[in-house]
Amino acid sequence: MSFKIAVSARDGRTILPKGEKYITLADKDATVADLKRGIADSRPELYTARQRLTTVAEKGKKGTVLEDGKKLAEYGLTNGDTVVFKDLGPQIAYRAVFFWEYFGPLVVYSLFFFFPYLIPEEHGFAQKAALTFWVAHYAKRIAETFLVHSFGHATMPIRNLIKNCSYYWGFAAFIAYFINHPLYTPPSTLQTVLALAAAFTCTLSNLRCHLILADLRSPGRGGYSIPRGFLFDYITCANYTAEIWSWLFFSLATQSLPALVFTLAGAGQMAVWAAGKHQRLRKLFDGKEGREKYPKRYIMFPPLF
Amino acid sequence: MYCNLPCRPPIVEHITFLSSSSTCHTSHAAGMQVASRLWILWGIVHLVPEAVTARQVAAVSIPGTGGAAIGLSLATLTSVWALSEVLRYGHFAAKEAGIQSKALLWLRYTGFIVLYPLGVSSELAMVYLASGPIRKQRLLSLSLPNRLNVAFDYYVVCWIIVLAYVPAFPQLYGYMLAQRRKLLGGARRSKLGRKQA
Repeated sequence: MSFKIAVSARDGRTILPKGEKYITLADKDATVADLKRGIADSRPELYTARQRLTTVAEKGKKGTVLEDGKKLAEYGLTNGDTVVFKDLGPQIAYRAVFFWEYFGPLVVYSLFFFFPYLIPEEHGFAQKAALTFWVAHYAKRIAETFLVHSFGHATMPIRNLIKNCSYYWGFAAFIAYFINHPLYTPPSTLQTVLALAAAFTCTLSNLRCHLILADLRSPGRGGYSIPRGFLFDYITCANYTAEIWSWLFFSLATQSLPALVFTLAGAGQMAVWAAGKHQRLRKLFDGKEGREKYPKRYIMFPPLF
Repeated sequence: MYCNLPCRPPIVEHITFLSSSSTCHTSHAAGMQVASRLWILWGIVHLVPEAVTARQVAAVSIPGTGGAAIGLSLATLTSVWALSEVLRYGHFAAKEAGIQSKALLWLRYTGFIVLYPLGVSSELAMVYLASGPIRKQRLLSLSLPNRLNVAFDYYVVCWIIVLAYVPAFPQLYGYMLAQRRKLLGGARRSKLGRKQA
């Protein structure tokens, strides 16, 4: 019993070669992933990661995005139905982007430390301590990328690589230039020591938050659960809280305005993400039909936000 | 997509009108204009008024006037700005009031052909005149060492902004030309039709 699905672009054009309209699947238990593989077999340049399939939308509404793991039948699709295809463009793995955007700052900052300008001057305590924190911070991020984080999506459009790396590498150069400059003015040793100790503590808290989040997601499935324990009982995006405080303390330890600017830029972006996540969780866990009700929590930065 | 700076220059009136713009493109273009106006007014002219009024830039003598010259100056800057505003707001006001004036539409989408290049040239002339004193006196700049461990060279920033004019101006000008073709193109065609008949 054949199970054929028609694949067309939003404007009605055919995607498959030689004017072919249908992909034939084994049986009615076929999954979305099977359909994507079928399309990729027909047109190898459209690897599955760059395909986005949706159901045909009613006028003015958006179609439902088809998730890889689910069966086509779960979306009410039967023999002869149509799905809408969108090419997401060249993709790159999340892991790859995270690695390169975090690897750059390690290299860039270290370059500014080890190759001072014309005057070969010995670096002071604050500068050495700052290097230690910086390298430890980004090494931690790279380790988390491969050992801790489980990503909701496997890939992102490749142009994000340029955008993300420009942000991280650019700020690394901006901060490193002024901290490792021969005319750098450190704060008191006490200020540096206390603030960096606090920064390290916050970074460790951030790691703990990431470990808690990683456990929430079982492998293979996306989707959301309510985070619990540690700071999550009070703040939805406690990991962002810890991250922002780490950088605030780093800025204090080095008394660096560039570092503070970086902290505020990051905080701004994280606030946007946190608001989105908080909204999503409150909508999903509305307390109706047996679902839990999402507890009252700060979004990202108590007591303000 | 508009700023809420608490400043007094009349160009701030832009902001309320622009919040009724329907397209992102229009707001982006308008945002760039507001930003450049604010910078030129406060960051250049107000900063070094003696320098920008000292002389004209690229002055050309008017033949037959026995020595009079016209060039880029604060006078051309303010005249162009004022005229542009009259055309822009005249057009917006008529639109809001529901008045359809072909004359106003034509003026709004034709005036810019001369006003934009003249305005941009005047703005750049102001920057050119101001840059010497800004550099010499290190105005609005911060040098190392200092307690914030940051340096800021306003002279360099000014020239970076000038570089930004290079892609921005053709974009703005091209956008206005496209709008002109879209909104006035029809009128042209019917004129041709009459001629042929």
